[in-house]
Amino acid sequence: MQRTDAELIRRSREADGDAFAELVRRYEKRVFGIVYRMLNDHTEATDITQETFIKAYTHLDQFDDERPLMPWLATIALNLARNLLTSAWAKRQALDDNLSCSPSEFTRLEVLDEVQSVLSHLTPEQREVIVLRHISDLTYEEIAGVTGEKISTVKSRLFEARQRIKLLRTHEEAKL
Amino acid sequence: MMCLSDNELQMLADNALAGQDRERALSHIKSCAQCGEQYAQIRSVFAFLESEPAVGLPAGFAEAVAERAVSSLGWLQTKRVQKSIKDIAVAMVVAIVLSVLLNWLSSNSLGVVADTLSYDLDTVDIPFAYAMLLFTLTIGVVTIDAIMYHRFNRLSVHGRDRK
Repeated sequence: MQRTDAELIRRSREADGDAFAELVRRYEKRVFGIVYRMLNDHTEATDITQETFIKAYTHLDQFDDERPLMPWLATIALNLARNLLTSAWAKRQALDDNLSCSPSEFTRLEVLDEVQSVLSHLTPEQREVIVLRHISDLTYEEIAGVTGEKISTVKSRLFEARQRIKLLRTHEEAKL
Repeated sequence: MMCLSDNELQMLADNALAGQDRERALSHIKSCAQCGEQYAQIRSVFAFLESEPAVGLPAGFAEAVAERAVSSLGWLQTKRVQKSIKDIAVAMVVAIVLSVLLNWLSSNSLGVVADTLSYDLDTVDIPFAYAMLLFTLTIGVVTIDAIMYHRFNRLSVHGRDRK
């Protein structure tokens, strides 16, 4: 029988490595998805995913195991990704006086897949809600909790972002 | 029923409409070709966004992270060791209480036994010695328990000790 998240969390708190590995297996894809879509850098995304789980492990005592784990992991992952973007932006700015974008708009350019290419046309706030809704499968309420925004703001950002994506895809299809 | 707005269609696709609203919306998109097409487009955007990235995590990622996570905590920070520290504190309190109690008993009634056994209670504090022995044994057992548990868990990350 599959063990519940709450049970695995309780065992992980007692330094049970197998239980924690099981938790990581359950959520690694979604956490990596968030970070990769935000950073667009495979190596950095892998590192941040690892850091997210280690940070979660060291703070497991503070987590209420009656609540779903994914929004909490998403909050940690998103904060780490934002911090990384800010520091990467600061380093880049030190080298390039003409850098015009803000830290949150700054992304390192790796090979873009189609989704990444579309996401790069969204504002950072729109990208965040899209990633949290479609990669992490969070509800409106959970996204509001993670981003610290009102539910109505989350809904309108999602709406605008999807309208934009629809438009971008229509343009792309028209080009072909 | 009037045609659905883009916002309503998105909420439907998000499973954010409930009860009668959802039923009404679903039956409308079945009967209205325009809304049905709009809804299909939104579903296609969803499927596009939910497609997996071409790259992923390396094999064995979960096990490696769990190993790093478990070893990132100092052994003093693990719950088990913290519990053991509490056990030791309780053992100390019990030993002190026992010591006081036995000392009190010795001064009242054990003198008779000591006289019978020819012990000189002035030179050997028998109850205190018993209490210290008990305390030392408790600390020993709890410490070995904590060390074994910690070692067991460190090994379990490599999968060497689990069948």
